Amino acid sequence: MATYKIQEKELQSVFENLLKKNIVEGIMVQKKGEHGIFPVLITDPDLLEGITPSAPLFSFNRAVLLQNNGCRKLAVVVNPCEARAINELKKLNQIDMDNLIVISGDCLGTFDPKDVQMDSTSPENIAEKKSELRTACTVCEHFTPPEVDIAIYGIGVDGGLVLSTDREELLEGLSLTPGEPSANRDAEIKKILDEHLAAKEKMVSGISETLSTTDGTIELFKHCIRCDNCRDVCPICYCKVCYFQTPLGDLKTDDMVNQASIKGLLRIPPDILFYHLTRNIHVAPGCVECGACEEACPRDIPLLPVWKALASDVQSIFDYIAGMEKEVPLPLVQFKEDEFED
Amino acid sequence: MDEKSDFEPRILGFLCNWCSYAGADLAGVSRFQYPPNVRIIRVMCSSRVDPMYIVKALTDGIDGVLVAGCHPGDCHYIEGNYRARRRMVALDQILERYGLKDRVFLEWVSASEGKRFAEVITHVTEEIKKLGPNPHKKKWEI
Ligand code: SF4
Ligand code: SF4
Ligand code: SF4
Repeated sequence: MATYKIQEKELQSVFENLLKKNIVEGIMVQKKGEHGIFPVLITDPDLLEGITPSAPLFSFNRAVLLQNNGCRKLAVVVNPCEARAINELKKLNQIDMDNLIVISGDCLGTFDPKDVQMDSTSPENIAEKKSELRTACTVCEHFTPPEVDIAIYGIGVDGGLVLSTDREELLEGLSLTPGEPSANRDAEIKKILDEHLAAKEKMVSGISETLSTTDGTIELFKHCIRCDNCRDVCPICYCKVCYFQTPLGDLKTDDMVNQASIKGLLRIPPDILFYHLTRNIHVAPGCVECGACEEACPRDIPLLPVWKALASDVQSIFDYIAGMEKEVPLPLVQFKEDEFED
Repeated sequence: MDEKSDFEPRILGFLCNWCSYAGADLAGVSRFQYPPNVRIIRVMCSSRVDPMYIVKALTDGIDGVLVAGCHPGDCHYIEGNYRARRRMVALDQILERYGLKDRVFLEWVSASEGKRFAEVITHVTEEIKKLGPNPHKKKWEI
């Protein structure tokens, strides 16, 4: 593992190098335009000017766009939760990692660009807006990069950033100064983590109470209109044809009449709880707790607390954390003969 | 009589073709008595049961669900039941939050265990009777 000291501004030369050497055809990164900062895909190295790779913004989990990536080689600069989703999709055989270079950095939380106008990415400007952070970020447990091609550390680094990689060929031709994070990086991470864990605990105990009764569960989901946005933006919900798009799961009027006549009445849209529980059981083993689903919900259903509870319940029982490593197998495709025997 | 003692639960049983369904058959030909509350669906393997089938039944108001397969080590497909076991463990975690966990059972019944099949059905039926009806049966709002 090689580590280098680098300034934010110099990251541009790292990306330029990747494009100019034809290691990749494009870079997915963020760039400032006249109307704000936007995620973009850049193929022309001259247009890298003005990129803001560490702007703390999140409007959706970009891993969702990488499902079934083709043969064109790309580098993507993403938040840790997006990088974890990419690793998880690799294990689900939905992403070809040979054509993808994943670059991810420490994340002190992100804002929804619809809530916060980001004029400058200076630390002061960000600190000022802290109370507007996305809820997912205030309870995030994995805000440092998972296993990626190039990791960028900012926490516990004196002045600038540290770049870490075991794929030195990606940096060939650049003259970078070796350097390491300071000794108190771990302590600083722990400090943030403790804060987030306390907030998470509160969130989970609140939702546990709600879900523990049938009436609470109904109250939680009752305004859902089954628009399926939460499914569509979720990077881990990857099926090409979802059950809820098949004739059995996507009821037309006549089907609804048939269903209604079983009990004499049918709530419409049908299958709200069935839909959510199905997503729960299919996604919980790999949920990266990014919060994209909740933010895409037009009905303000608090989905994130549900996922915070269920993802840790399910992943911890298998001693697994979604997307942290590329090679650790998915919990549901492996087993031990002598486990869960009671 | 109160609602519970009156209550005849409706239980869905997913039985694997090679062991548990044959065990049920043996219970039948051996004329072992067991409660008539379980409706059986034959599947080729316990691992054929996507947990969403269970969730579908529960949200539609079924009182209990039993999944039964070959004993660990005896799966016709070598390892299907080990996979089923992990899925059921994951499902348990989720249903526990929703207060539905105690309505779902995973049991191993071999083709020669007709008696055990009758015992499992009796046990599951009794447990569900203790729990009372699935609250989702009456609730239609979601
Ligand atoms: S959820 Fe975590 S990793 Fe994702 S944007 Fe928020 S702080 Fe960063
Ligand atoms: S369920 Fe929600 S929080 Fe979990 S990975 Fe999908 S979009 Fe992210
Ligand atoms: S996005 Fe919201 S309204 Fe749409 S299906 Fe999901 S929970 Fe329901």
